[in-house]
Amino acid sequence: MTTFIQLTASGIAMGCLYALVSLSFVVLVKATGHFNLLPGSFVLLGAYLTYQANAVFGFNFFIAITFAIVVVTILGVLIQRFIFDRIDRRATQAAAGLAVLLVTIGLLSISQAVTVTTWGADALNLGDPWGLKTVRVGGVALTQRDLWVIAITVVVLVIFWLVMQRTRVGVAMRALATDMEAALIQGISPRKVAPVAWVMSAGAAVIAGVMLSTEAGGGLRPTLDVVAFTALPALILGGIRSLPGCVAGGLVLGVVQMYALGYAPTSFGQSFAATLPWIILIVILMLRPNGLIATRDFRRA
Amino acid sequence: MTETLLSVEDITLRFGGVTALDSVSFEVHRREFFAIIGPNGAGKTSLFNCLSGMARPTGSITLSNSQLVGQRPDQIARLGVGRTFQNLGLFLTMSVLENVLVSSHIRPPAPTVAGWWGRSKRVEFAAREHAYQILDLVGLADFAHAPVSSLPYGTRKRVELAKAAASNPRLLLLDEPVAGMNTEETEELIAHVYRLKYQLDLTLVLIEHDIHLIMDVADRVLALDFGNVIGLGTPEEIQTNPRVIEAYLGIEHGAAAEPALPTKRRA
Repeated sequence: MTTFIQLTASGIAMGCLYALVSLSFVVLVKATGHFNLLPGSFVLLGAYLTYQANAVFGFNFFIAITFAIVVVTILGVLIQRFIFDRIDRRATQAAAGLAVLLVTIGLLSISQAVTVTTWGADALNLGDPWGLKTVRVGGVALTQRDLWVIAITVVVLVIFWLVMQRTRVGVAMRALATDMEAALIQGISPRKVAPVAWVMSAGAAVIAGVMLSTEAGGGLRPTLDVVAFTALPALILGGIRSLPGCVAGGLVLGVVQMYALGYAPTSFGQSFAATLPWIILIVILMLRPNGLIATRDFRRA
Repeated sequence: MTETLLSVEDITLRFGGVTALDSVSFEVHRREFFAIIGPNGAGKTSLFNCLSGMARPTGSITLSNSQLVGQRPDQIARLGVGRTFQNLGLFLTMSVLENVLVSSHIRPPAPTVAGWWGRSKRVEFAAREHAYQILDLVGLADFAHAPVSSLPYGTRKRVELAKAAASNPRLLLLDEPVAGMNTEETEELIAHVYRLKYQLDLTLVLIEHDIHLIMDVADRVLALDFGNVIGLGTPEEIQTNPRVIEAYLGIEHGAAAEPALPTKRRA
């Protein structure tokens, strides 16, 4: 029983990270209209930029995270202005969706190369600012890091919810995501709404990246983006456009993965827990192949 | 006396080999109730698309002194052109109030998360107050928090009207606002349109199939057929215009079920 509670708690912490990464994806889908892989680059660059500002420049850890979020946001806005907008203007919806996806695969490889060139391929130590102590509740040991992860995720979720539900920028973002033409006719300028979406996406991705790479023993590696993509099944699980959906998807995925780690027979092999999200992804897409459709449909001639 | 608000000069719109609009010119006066009629495929909705920036014709469209051709839809909306869609452009997952609030986004400079919290609060409050005023005018204040997806078709049409009116337009384009409605619903919607027109000092351009309705409400009528202007004048003039009669009668032979030109109904 204790093992079960222990695994559940770790699973929730893991699920929070998946939720943050998939939020990063969903916000971009809503704001740009296309599914893309930039959050992978954001997770990677965010963690390394935080390392740069914290360990190299010597800034306070939270200032370093803010710095990383600002830099990543600026990158995102520039990518939209100079690449996405141009593609959108010249291509049909379906073609633009594929073009954007391929462009972001390219950008992902470039960001990996830049990371290895700048910071090297060896694992770096981002430190463990959350503390490695464990808190014992009943017979269950929770690491301080897990508690931090859960607390920070909750704060991020509350902020996202307030922005989406209570502000006009949030209403505008939802309007653009529902019916782009009607939103334009109402005077909503995607250029003014987009930066807010990029800040949200960058914020979620950078925070997730930092928390993934401070994991005890893990450290900061250039393959961090691959870890980030493990969140994709969470995104599909929750429906690719729904913020609450992907949070739920993230939590389910995290908990299931931890149970697999704890209970799966050893004959399944060591990588079973790591491959499980992808098995889930394949099954979901077989059952609900439309889950991936993210492009806006234009109804009117 | 008659101040020109909208001036359309010689606009032509082609899709591939099809000419949707062919050298169309007309003017709409301030405070006018202007109607556009024509058989299916005459270019009515294409004309609206040009006016709202969703299609880019050659020629010139000016609102007061601003050139509209070449501007983006959101820029044109900011200049004061509102529009409803024939098949509704509502955000179904959102509430009635939120649908109307979408427009208020364009009024004052938008405060973002980076803006002052207090100022943002005040602006948000003002936006909500304005949205409620508009909802009151179309009798929807009681439904403010209902999700649009829960409302019947006729009520959705009113939400669409409120949403378009909330962007503070000078010129409001209505694309078949009463299509699919019965007489009673039509009269009610038109009453709301009139209330908005006078309370908000609007100039209206209406696309409508129901020619009885146009005879009742419009000050002047533009008749289109195959992208060409075939008549422009008062409803009485249009009704007796031989080319208009021919266009409508000609359709009678075809499969499309357009209404024949009725006899004059106005006393």
